[in-house]
Amino acid sequence: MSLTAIVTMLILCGTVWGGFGLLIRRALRREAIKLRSQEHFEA
Amino acid sequence: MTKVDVFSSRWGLVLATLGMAVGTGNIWRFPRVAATNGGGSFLVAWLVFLLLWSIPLMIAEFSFGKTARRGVIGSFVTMAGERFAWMGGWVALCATAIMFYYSVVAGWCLRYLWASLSGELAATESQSFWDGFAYTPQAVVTHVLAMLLAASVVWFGVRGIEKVARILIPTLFVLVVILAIRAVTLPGAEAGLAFLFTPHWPDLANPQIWLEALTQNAWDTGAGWGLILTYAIYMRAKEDVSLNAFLIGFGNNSVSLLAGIMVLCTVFAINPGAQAEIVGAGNEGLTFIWMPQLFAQMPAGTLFMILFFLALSFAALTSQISLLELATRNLIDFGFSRKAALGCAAGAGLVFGSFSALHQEVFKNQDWVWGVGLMLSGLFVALAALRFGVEQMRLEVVNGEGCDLRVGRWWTWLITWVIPLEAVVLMVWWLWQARGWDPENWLNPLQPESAGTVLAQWALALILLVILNRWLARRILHRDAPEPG
Repeated sequence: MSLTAIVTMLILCGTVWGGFGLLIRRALRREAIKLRSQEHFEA
Repeated sequence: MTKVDVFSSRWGLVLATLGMAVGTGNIWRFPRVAATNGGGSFLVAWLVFLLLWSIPLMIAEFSFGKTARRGVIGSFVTMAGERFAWMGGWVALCATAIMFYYSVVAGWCLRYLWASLSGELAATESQSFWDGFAYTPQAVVTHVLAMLLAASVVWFGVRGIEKVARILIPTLFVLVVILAIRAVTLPGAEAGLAFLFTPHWPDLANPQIWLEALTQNAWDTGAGWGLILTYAIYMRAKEDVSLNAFLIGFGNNSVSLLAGIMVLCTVFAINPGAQAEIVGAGNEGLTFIWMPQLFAQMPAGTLFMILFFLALSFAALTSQISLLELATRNLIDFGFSRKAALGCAAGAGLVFGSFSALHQEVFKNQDWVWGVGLMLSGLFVALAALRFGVEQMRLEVVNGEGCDLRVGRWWTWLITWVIPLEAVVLMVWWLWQARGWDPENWLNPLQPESAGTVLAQWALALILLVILNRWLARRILHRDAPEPG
């Protein structure tokens, strides 16, 4: 496998899978914030 | 005011929508198209169109469903006005026509899952197994089974859809990851990776690569089909739009990439000499004829063959569920109860799908006519957003209550200019390609894969929908839109 193929693979897989992972992390954080503010509001 | 059930959480919505987006197209079409269009350079174009087609349309669809709380036709009436019910009717018709024959595909996957479990597939030559099954009464039986399975989920409404998605989608992800890991650890698999990821930069000057990348995004993410809109009806009132759209786009393309690695590494490791023949064998040829042969030559191949057809069956069934829900939801908007609406939608699917199950020409014709029709659906979603006011939608709905990721003016620009242009270019390109496949009969409406059959069936459908426009709008506006419960 050439160096160009390895670099392309890392960039493409990193963008797609890494992007998906970061989006999940952001969604988890936002849900946690919403839950905390809802609990605060109810209290 | 009637209440509509909602997804219990964001993750219920995301998993159900991912189930809609991840279908057989990710597993059997993406690897083939990536391999035949330059590998690495195609992947660059494919990633660009995720951002320039799929995600902007997903954001628009989520906004429609969240605002209107009605099915496709009702959403178009609410968002664009009474005069545009026919556009919503077109989007609903396209997805429903696809539901009829997609059930046949889901049935094939179930049959192959059973055959791999029972050992029947390993004991039979794969070409003769396919020839003895596809387009025979056996395929009608599996089509009926697939339709009944999907109906048994849609029967319970959004709660049923969420429960099934919570089990099938994580399992599907795990299966695809296992299969991809197995494939890359086979001796010789690096040739598959090199084939998939080596970029040929001059290829990026070839418009065909870009058009194929745009087509793949349009077909495998489900953006613009009205399915995301349908699931968005069941969003919680303060649910986010844009972050969910990005999650689904990237999640769907993550599965495609894994499937590409899985299929191409398997092909190159097991039968490198026949790679051109294998990837050129078409969707059914690759999946149902070549993959069983490749698994048969792999250590512990029977186990991996079962996992492969299990993943394919899950992908097909979750997409079939969303297609059936779309048809059912539109009938509910016309005043049917869920059970009656589901009975009508599934019943029509059983009857019309049977023709595709029995006759290859009907199957190919319907796949061709309504597959290209989805480009028009995407165009109509963008036009309805324009009619409502794209900037107003961005400010009030996308960046409104519950927003987790603010969207800038780029989205307004993409929906206003880029999506309509992409849709028109794609439609013209596909119809022009059909001219090259059969120069003498390309306008003959009786040829199964001609531009003529597309234009004739589209014209008939559009004329009927325009005539029925007033009636469709009145039937929907006669009833109040439900509120999220």
